[in-house]
Amino acid sequence: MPGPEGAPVQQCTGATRLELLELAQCVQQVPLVPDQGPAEQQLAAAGLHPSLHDRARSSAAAIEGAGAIAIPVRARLEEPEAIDALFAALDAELDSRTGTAEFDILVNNAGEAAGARWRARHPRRSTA
Amino acid sequence: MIAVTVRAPFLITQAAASRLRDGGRVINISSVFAARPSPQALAYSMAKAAVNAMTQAAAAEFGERGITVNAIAPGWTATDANAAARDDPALVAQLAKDTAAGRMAEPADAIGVVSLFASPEGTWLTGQYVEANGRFRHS
Repeated sequence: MPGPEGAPVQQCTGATRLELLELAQCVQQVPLVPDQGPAEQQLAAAGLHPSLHDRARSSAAAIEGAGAIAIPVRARLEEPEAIDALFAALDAELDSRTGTAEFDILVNNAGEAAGARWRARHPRRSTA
Repeated sequence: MIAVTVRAPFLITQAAASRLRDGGRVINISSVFAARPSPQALAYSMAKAAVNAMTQAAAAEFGERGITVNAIAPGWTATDANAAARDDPALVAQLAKDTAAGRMAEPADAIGVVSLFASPEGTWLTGQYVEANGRFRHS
């Protein structure tokens, strides 16, 4: 979608509600996928849902279909180097498609929901 | 837990700061546990509280560029990340009971607030933590 100076812009600010949901889902799903080897094997080995990458790609396709730009990038977010690589890939792809690596909206959605309870980890010390 | 839930959004926000356009948006998906920590989810509570702290600090940092930074606490949502809860009828019933709205959250329930954060109407809304979760209170 052309911007004021003729360059395409990532049209997130004007996105519809559905697009934003797709965006949020895409951002959530993409970073969890390890970036090496045959996807399904790697996913299974990592205990992740094998369809995750496919879903990320289909979310990205839905966003593209709505006129915005979506670039699925896989990265292991627990590794800082992977985040550098994520942005390098994003910069290159975004720049080649829009002439700039700038974008409008960041959604930090990925997280790990394991509980890590307190109670079971601190048994009483014996005073005997 | 901390690497994925705290360090990653910090590093990503830091990297994004030099790429976001003026007037841009940062939207952090936080949790009800950030404001209401639970011994059942200690590390998660600590991690999401850190996300809230980052939200407020980043809002102050990026404000002069017109970039808003906000957080939403969507409550227990029926996604694959919560598959164990979503697929457990007893837990779903408990979550419904713990929610004023009487049901577990669906992904679409987050759309309204996330859209507001992202929209031009959200220009003056920054550094905020919004509990959009049907008034969920873990029991």
